[in-house]
Amino acid sequence: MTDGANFRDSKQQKDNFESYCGYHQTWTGEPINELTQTGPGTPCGDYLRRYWHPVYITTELGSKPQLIKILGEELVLFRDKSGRYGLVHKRCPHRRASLEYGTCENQGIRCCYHGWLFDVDGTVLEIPGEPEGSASAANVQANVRLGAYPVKEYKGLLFAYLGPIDELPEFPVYDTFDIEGMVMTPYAGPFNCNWLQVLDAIVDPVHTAFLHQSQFSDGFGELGEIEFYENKKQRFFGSASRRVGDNIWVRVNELVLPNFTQAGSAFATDGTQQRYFGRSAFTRWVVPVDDEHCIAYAWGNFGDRGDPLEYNTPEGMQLIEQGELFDRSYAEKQASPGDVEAVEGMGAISDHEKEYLVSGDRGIAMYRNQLKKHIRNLQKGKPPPQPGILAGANNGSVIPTYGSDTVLNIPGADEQRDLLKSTNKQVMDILFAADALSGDARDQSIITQLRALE
Amino acid sequence: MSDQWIDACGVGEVDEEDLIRFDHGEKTFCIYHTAKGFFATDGYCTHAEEHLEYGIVEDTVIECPLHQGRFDIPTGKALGGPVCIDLKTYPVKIENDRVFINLSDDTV
Ligand code: FES
Ligand code: FES
Ligand SMILES: [Fe+2]
Repeated sequence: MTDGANFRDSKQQKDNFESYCGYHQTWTGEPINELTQTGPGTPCGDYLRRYWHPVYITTELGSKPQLIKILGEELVLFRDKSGRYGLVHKRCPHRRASLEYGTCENQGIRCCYHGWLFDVDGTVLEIPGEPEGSASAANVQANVRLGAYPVKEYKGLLFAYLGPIDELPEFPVYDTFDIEGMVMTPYAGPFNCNWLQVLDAIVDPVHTAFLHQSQFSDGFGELGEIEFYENKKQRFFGSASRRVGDNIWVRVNELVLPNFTQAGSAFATDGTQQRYFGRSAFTRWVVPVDDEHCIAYAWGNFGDRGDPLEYNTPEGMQLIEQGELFDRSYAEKQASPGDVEAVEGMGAISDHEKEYLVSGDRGIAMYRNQLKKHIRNLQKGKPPPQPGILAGANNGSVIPTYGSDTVLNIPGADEQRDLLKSTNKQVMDILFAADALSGDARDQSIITQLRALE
Repeated sequence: MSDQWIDACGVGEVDEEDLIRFDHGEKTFCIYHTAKGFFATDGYCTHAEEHLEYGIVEDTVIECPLHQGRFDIPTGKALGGPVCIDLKTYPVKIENDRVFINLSDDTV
C-alpha cells in the first residue's frame, strides 16, 4: 500500500464524521413529574389513592407483621390471630417505634416498645403501662389513633385502599376474576423503576415484535397491523393483527385506568392453531412502591382459556410476566433482554422529555394524557371515574374485559395489510358489541361471531 | 359556497377545559370547550398527523399528545414545541344548546 492511499483513507474517514452530533446533544431531560410522583400529597399520588390496589400475596404474610411500601408510604401489614387483616402506618403514635416489631394479637397488633394495642382500624385498645382508669389513658383513647387503611383479601391477593375513607370506592370486579375452569395463581413481579415505565408496555404492541420475538413464539416476531382504541376514556387498547401462515392472529392488550392490565396469552398460542377469544395470561396491576420501584401484582391465568397448566410454576409466571426469568446474569440479560431490562434500562425514572414518540406510541400518548386529565380534574375537586363505569348495562357490577387472543383461519398474502386491518377492526367490533352480555353468554356470543369471520 | 353550518354536538358533551373529536364525511375536527367559549379546529396536528383528540386543553391552548406541540385554540396559531404550521380553525355558533361549526370556507 502506498502512503498516498493511506492518506486518502484517513481523510475520507474524517469527512464521514461530519454527521456525528454527540457533543451537541443534551444528556438528560425531565420526567413527566405529574405522572411519576406518587407519594402522599402529590397530585398523581392523590389520584392513585382513589383506587383499590393489590399490595401483597396472602400466603406470603406470616404470623409476624410485614413492613411494606406502597405509593411512597412505609406501612405495616398484618393478620391478627382472629384472621383479620390490618394495614397501618409504620410508626406507633406513642413514641414512634416501628410496628413491624410488634406482635399480632387476637384483636389487632401490639407495639413492642410499651405494649399499646391497636385494632385493625387503628383504635387504641389498651395502654397497659398506664394505671387503669387514669386520665391520661382515657385521653389517649379519646384522641389518638394509629393511621390505618382498609384491606380486602381476594383470591390470594391482599388489596388495600389508601385514600380518604369517605371516598371509599366499590371493589372492582372484572369478568376474569371468575372464569369456569381457570386456575388463578397470584404472583409479584418487582421492577426497579417508576411505575409509568412498566405500565406503558401494555399499550405498546410494537415492542412484542422486537423485545419478545424469540421469547414466546415466532408469531410474536411478526409486526402486523397495530390499532389503538379506547372505551369511555377509562380503558385503552392496543390491538395487533399478524399473519401466521393461513391464519390471522389478533392479540388485544388492555389497560383500565389507572393501572389494571390484561393481554393475550404468553404460551397458549403461536398463531398456527385456531383460537377464539382465549383469555389473558395475567390479570395484573402495576403498583408503585415508591417513585423508583414498582411491583406488578397479578394472577397468572391457567387452563383451556388461559396459558397451559404446565406454566403454573414460579418460573412459568416469571416468563409470562417478562419473557425471561427475573434472576439472571448480566451476560444472560444482554443475550436476551426481557421487559425488566427494557424498562429498568431507562433509569429509575425515565426522562420523558427526551423521548420522541411515533405512531406506534399512540396508545401511550392517549392513556398518559387521560391520566393527566383525571389528575388535574381531581385537583379541581372532580373525583376520577372508577373502573365500574365499564360494567355493561346488564351485567351488574362485573366489568367485561377484552385482553385476548383470537386466531382465525383467513388465508391471504402477506402483503394484504388491509385484510389484517379490517380483521383487527371486526374482532374489536365484536368485542365491543358484546358489552351488554355477561359471563358465559358473552363468551359464547363472541366466539360464535368470531368463527363466523372465517 | 353558501353558509354551511354543521351540527357537531351538544354543549353538554364537551367538558370545560376539554375537547371532543367530531368526524364529518371524510374530515375530522376537534370541538373545544374553553373558559372563553366553544371553538373548532382541524382534527390532526400539523406536525406528524396525530389526532388532537387526546391532547390536553389548558386555558385556550391545545397541547398535542405526541410531541407536545402547542396551538392557540381560537386562532389556530402554532405556539411552540415542534409545530410551525398553524392549525385551521372554523367559526362556531351555539343554538338551542347545540354546537354548530361552519365549513363554508373549507376548500377541500
Ligand atoms: S412506642 Fe409504641 S407503645 Fe410506645
Ligand atoms: S404530532 Fe403533534 S406535535 Fe408532533
Ligand atoms: Fe413485554
